[in-house]
Amino acid sequence: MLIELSHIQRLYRSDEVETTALHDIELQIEKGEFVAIMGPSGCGKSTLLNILGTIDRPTGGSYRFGEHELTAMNEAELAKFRREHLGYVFQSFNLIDELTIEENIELALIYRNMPKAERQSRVSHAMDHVGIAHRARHYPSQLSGGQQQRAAIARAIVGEPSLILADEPTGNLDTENGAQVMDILQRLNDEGATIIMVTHSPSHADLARRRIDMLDGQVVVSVRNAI
Amino acid sequence: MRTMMSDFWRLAVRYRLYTALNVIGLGLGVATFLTLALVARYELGWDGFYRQSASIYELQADFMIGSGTFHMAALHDPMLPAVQTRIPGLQGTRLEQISADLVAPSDISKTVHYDQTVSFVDPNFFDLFDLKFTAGSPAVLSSPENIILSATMARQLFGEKPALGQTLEVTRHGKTSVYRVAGVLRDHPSNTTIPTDLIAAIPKTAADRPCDGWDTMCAQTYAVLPTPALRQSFLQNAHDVLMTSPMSRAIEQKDPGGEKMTLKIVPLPLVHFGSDGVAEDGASRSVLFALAAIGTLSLLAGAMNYVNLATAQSLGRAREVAIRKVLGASHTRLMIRFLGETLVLTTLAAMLGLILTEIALPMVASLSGWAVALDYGWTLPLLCGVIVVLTLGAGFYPAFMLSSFSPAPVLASARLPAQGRFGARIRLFLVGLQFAFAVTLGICTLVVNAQALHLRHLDRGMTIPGLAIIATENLTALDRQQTAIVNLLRAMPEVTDLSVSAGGTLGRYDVGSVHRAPGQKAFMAQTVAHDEAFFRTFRLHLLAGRLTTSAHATDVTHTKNGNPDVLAQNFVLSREATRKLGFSSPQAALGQTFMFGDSHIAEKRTIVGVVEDVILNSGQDTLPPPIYELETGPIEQGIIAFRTAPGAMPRVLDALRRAWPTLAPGVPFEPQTMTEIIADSTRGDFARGRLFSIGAAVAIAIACLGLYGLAAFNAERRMHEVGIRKTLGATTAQIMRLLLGQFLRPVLYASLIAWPVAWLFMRNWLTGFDNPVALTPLYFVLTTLLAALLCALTIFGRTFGLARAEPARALRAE
Repeated sequence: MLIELSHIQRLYRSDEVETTALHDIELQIEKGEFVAIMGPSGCGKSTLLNILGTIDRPTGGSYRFGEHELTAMNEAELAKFRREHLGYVFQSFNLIDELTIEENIELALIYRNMPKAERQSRVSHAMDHVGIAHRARHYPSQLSGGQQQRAAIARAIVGEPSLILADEPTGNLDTENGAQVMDILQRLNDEGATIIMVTHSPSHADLARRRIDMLDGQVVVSVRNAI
Repeated sequence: MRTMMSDFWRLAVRYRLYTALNVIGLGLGVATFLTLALVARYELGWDGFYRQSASIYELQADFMIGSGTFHMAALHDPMLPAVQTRIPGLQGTRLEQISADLVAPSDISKTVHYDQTVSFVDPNFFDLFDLKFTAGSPAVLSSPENIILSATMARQLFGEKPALGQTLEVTRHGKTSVYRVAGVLRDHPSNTTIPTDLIAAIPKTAADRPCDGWDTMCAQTYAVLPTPALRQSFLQNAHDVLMTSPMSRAIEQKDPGGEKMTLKIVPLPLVHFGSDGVAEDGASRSVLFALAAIGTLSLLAGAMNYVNLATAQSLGRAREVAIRKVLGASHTRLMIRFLGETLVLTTLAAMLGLILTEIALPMVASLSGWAVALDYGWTLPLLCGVIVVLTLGAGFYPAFMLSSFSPAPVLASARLPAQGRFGARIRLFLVGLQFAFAVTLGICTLVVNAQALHLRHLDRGMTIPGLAIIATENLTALDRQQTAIVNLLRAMPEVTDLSVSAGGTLGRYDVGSVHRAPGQKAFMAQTVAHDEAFFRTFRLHLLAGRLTTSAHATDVTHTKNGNPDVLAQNFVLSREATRKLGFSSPQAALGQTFMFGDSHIAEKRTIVGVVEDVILNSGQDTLPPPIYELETGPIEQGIIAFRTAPGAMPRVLDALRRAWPTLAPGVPFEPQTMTEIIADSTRGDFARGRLFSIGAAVAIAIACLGLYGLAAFNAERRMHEVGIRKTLGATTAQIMRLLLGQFLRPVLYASLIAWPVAWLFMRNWLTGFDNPVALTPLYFVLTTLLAALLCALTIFGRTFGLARAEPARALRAE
């Protein structure tokens, strides 16, 4: 088992209001799975993905990732875990405007203190993989949405992570570019990558091997797609 | 106007931090600029308030004796009338100063006002120097019995009683003349080189005149010379007069050891700066240039802050601009609106600057000795100019940028427009420039302060503690009491040594021409006549040979009735004198001879000892090196120097103070310890050091304010980016390194500009000192490290908060 969530809870407290974003989530994900999470806005999809990606902490429950108990880790240990095991793809791409595409992709490796030569070889391989190599020296603002998302996928896979987390990766793209991105994700999954994707698109969810439906902070349905 | 104010107010409330940083930064810049502008105006405005100031020139002379130059700001009494006969209609006047003691017969207490400067002038004096009268008129100068007082002097002499019609006894060289007060001048600005406390006409009879024909040079000579042709003609005619005068011998150049005299004219406003460009208050044109540069650059630094913060802030206002444009606002209209906001902000900053100037000026005046005051009539128009220039200069780019946002993409995007690499680089570049200025000033401050400290602890060539002097040279009353004072001191058991000498570096001294051998170049030395106890009292550091003593008959000059009878053959010289004579070391000079006196009457003397140079001034005005001549007879108008047992000085001075009223009634009690004299001599350097320190502190404060603003802006703008980086696995420490590095880089680049600039400035400044401090890399490295540390401290809080942001929350930013 790669991921095991047990009684995961996420509460948001303000002075007057307490909101439950996630309520008693139980979830297991095997290595090599491609899971799509669906549900209406505000149901807790992104919160769940953020917790899976360790960029948000649950207020209760346990999160095991392979041999690691992540809820017991401090901030520095989580940062180390992220750079070694996780890759992210966001709806709004989240590339850094001031860096070139190549530099954006390399960033994930710089934090690992990887030697320059190895970084360059990995970056160029990742760019080839998503077909963005010809745009290496461009800045994000000079690229189309589809190209930016492919660059973001290259950044997610360049560190060869154990898990790729994609938060509505096609949400800002037109149909054609959306299809291209899904093709890449499927290919990565075929090559062995574990992927968890939040999406609003039923057709894109159908391309995953498993589909989880959420409502009001709870997992209501978990079904395997027939692929 | 109301809309402008309310717009500004809304903005100020919304962006409290940026508005405060902008107003304070600009306010500091304005205050520095105004303060230094007032200082510059004061210094450059010397003698500027006379109507004909721009056309008045002073005739001066430079004597060159061998390699040395001796400057005279006064000429011979007959010079001006002689030139006037050659140039008909030439407007000119003379001023001859004397020092005299005054008594007002109407004063019941008969207070003697010692050592006052009386100006004897030509009757047309007020045609050139149009001082205003509260009583009397310039015409009173036609009578030689009349005297004109300044309002201050009138109050000092006669209190609240009307001065006009009172009599005044003026005593000089033991001779008393009675004058009648016939005019009182209105108080005028203090920055004038013309002494105006007591003015009388030049006496008609030769015996009463302060100047003595062609024998003395004591008539300050002024002429109105509005055209270059007239100036040239004046100089040529003055030269011709000189060549036909008994002085012509002095300007012959045939004898290489002889004197050479050249005439020159100096514009009245520059007379204040003296022959070496340094005024008596320590201001020089280079110091003024530096202060003017600091003032202008401070204002510029404040303006840069504004540009930086305003462009940074403008990104946050893009949506507002887009909506205004959608509602029909034109580019020009928006520009005017934003410039209006800048106008309100710069006006506020200017008001803060004015308040800060009002607070700072008395402090600057007391530190520097410059009698600067806030003249609103002059300052307010300047301030209005500053507001307009700042509004247009600093406000234009942000206003243009802000009004140029295109509405469609801004309204369509969930995120604010990207800040752009160009904009970000411009902002860091401007911060870099600010730090270049601050680091340059910081280095200069360290060096100026180090030099002041170096001077305070310099080897002065003698043992300083326990030594005090009483100068009797200018006080005729005191001179008569010299023996009584000496006897009193000698009777005190705490006084271990006592000597009387003719001034030397401490005051009056005789100048003599000295050269190595007949036909060789001469230089000027000061001959210090001293008694047997002189070296023991001053404890001058002997470098080679022996000190002169009455045990050797040829060491001593014997005097008879005040005149030298038998002259000393052996002399002790200062190290500098032997160097000027061409000896490689003090040892090499021993037993050697030199020629003493003008070339045609020079006599041979032998060097028996060499002592260390005595340094009592700040080392910026070079005095002729001393040569020491032992005398047996009484030394009149001398310096009484005495040394006490350790710690006994206060007791001795106290006893002397108690005895003083009977020893020298009415004479101010002004003995000086050598420690005080040294402290006085370096006071100007310390004051300048403190002024530079204030300037540097302000510059660094402005730069840090700007940096803090940028860090705050960064904390808002880069939250999202930090979220991305942390999602990719960056730790808080890695983010801190990145952000601090980005801010520290401009400081390091700034140092690359600042180091050579500061090095050039300081090397140039230090060459003016005989004993400069070494310009080591320490000052440069230390300043950069300090600037980097300050920079890091300034941005640490903001940056740390940003680096610690939780990634999920950071990603939701914007």
